[in-house]
Parts: sequence; structure tokens; C-alpha cells
Amino acid sequence: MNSHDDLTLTSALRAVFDDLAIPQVDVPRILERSSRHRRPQQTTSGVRLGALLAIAAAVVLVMIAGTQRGWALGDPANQRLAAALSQALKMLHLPMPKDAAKPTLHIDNFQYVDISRIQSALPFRLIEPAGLRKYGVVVHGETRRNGSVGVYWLTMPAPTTFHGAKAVSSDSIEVDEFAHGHAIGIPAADPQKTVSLEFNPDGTLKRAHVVTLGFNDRAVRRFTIGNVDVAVIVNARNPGPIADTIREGMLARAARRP
Amino acid sequence: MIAPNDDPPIPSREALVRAARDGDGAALEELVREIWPDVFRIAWSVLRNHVAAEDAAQDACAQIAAKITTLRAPEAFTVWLYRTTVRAATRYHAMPLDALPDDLRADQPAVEDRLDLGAQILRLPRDLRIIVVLRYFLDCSSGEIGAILGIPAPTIRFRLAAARKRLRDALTFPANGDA
Repeated sequence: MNSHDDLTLTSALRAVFDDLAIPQVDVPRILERSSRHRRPQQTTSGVRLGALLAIAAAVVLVMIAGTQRGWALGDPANQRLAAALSQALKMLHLPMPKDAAKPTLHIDNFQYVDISRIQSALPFRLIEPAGLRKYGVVVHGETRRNGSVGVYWLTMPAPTTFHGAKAVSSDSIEVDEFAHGHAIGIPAADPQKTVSLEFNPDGTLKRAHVVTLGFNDRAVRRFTIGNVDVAVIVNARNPGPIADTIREGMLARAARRP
Repeated sequence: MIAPNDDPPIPSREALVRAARDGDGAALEELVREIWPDVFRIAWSVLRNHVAAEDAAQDACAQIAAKITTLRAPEAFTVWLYRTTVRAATRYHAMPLDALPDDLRADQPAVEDRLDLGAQILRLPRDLRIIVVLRYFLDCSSGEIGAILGIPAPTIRFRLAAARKRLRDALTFPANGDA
């Protein structure tokens, strides 16, 4: 349609709405209803409050990790970590089948974190397989009663600006057999490669290396390093529309809000 | 024939908005009366149902009345108003159809039947319909519509083009290419 058609559309809409019987406005009723929408005066918006809660949660995480690692909160490394956490900590609830013996998710599109900025402060170290350009560290995960999994992860706004093979995308490796001090991860971006993680008895990472193997199955695993729970999420059998999965997770989260 | 726009001049609305924001109760009531027709039309264009649209419009106006004292930029009032209205109507629309009372389920065929093009606009999918109404009835720019719906302006332009194509296709007779 051209501009003439635009005018036609405008005319048609005006005709429709001119014919539309607009009910009388009930101002007292509206004002009465408005009282339901009023909240007690507060100095922070909901968004700011959420950010403050995220920072508080980040500080708690730092304190937990710091207690385990003997850190002092005044340590500059911890301050950097706290700053990174407060800037980037996010939480996602993902719906999980209640009866799944090994819950699996289809996530491969977390936002990413510049591991190099916080690597020294994390209680574990990860190695990036060559060519893997996605960076994300899930620092905390928990399974909820309703079967969903709450996942905290760190983000970096511009993953492509990060250079250097120093970190494995934690959302793209499968960790297995952690109880035996050994874990295997599969980079989602390169299923032909496997990340092998070897842990010390105290839970710290002893060694990580990449080998090339073929795996068709990826899943979610939770494990603990020190006092930090780590949820590792990877693609599973059905890669599926990843964005949809994230969206569904977000919707599930929103649906649980009061 | 294009009906004249009976909206009052913008400065008048802005003055009402500023007064209502500053706690003037009379101005707030006048503002509600002023915005009501547009709010109802938007809600109706989303819901295509009088009763549901009236309820959604009331809810939107109530939200506006409750929060107008927090409005920092009066010049942004219109976008805020439309956004609040669309969201209120969309929430209502999201209810399962069988959860609505019987009298809310029927559309308004009487209006649809009057004008083919108008009827076709009302038959557009909701996402396209609201964009068309905001663009062609309320004269919002793509950027403003984007701000109202939380969608990038290029996406709005794309959807407008899609809506126009649908309307063009719907109004084109398949036989002999007569339109």
C-alpha cells in the first residue's frame, strides 16, 4: 500500500471508531479502583529494589565463598568479584520435569561473562576449549520443590570482545561423575570436544583439559565446589529452539510472582 | 469522509497532566474524562468487546490515576498512557475465552460489517491490529509505538508492512484481479 492507502486506512479506522459507542466514563469507579494500584510511598523503584537484592545476594555468595577460601571482604579481588556479581548476577527459574531422574535442559544461550575479570576470585578455574567464544559461569543452582531449577549466572555484555582461551562456558559443559573427583564436560558449541575436569579432594579444580570425542547427549549437572553450588547446563538430546526455552523459563518465573 | 479529530489541543492535556501530577484532584478527574475515549478505543481494538474493553479501560485509567504523581516527564504521558492501556487490555485478553462470561465472548460484528477495510483491520491478529490502530488512528510514529509495546522501531515498521500486505491481500478479489 502507498500513502494513499495509508490515508484509506486512517479513514477506515476513524469510521470504525466513530461508529463505536464509547461508554460513559465512570470517574468515581476509576478513582476507587486506582486505590488498589497505589502502594506505600517508597524511595526505590521495584527495579532498583531488585538490583539491591541482587547485590545483596552477590555479597552473600562472596561471603560464603570467602569463608570457604579464607578471604577477607576487604581484599581487592573480592571487591572486584562483588562488583562483577552485583553488575551481572541474574537468576533464571527453569521448569523441570518432576519425575526426571536426571533433569535435562536445552540451554545454550546464556549471556556471558568475562571470566578473566573474576577468574582469580572464583573458587575454581575453568579452561576454555579453543574456538569456544561463549562465556558464562553459573555460580549457583538449586532445585526447587516444584521441580524447577533456579540458576544464577554471570554475564558479560559483549562476549566477542573477550580474547584468550581461559575459560570454559559453564553452560556448555556436562559435568559427570563428580563424586569420584572427576567430571566431563561437552562444549555445546563444539560437540566433538570434551572438557575433562579433575578436582582435588577439597573440591578445587585440579586440572582441566580438552579432548576431542563424540557425544550426542548433554544434560544438566549440579555439583559443589567448596560452598558454591554450581549448575552446569548444556544442550541435551533435543537442541530445540533455545530462545523459546529461555523464554519459557522467564514466563514460568513470572507466573510464580505474586 | 474523515471525521475531525475531537481530541483537545495537546497543551491542554499537558496542563492537566502537570496539575494532576502535582496532586490536583479536579485536574485528575478532568484528565480521566479527557483520556477515556482513546483509552477505551485502544482497549476495544485489542479486545473487540465492549464489556471487556470498558473494564480494561477502567483498569488502565485507574493505574494512571494511581501513579501519575510519580510521572517525571509529562511529555511522556501519552506513550505511558497507551502502554498502560495496551498492557491492561492484553492481560484481559490473555484470559481463556471460556473463563469469560458469555456476554464477553462475542465480538462486535455490527461494527465489523459496516466497512470492509475496518472489518479486515479488526480481523488482523492482535499484535498487528494494535500497531495499525496506534499508527493510523492515534498517529503514533514507529518509535512511539516501539516505546509503547516494548518492541524495536524497525520491527514495528516490519509488522506494519505485514499488516498492510494482509489487508491488501484480504481486500483483493481473487477472480480477475479486481480489487
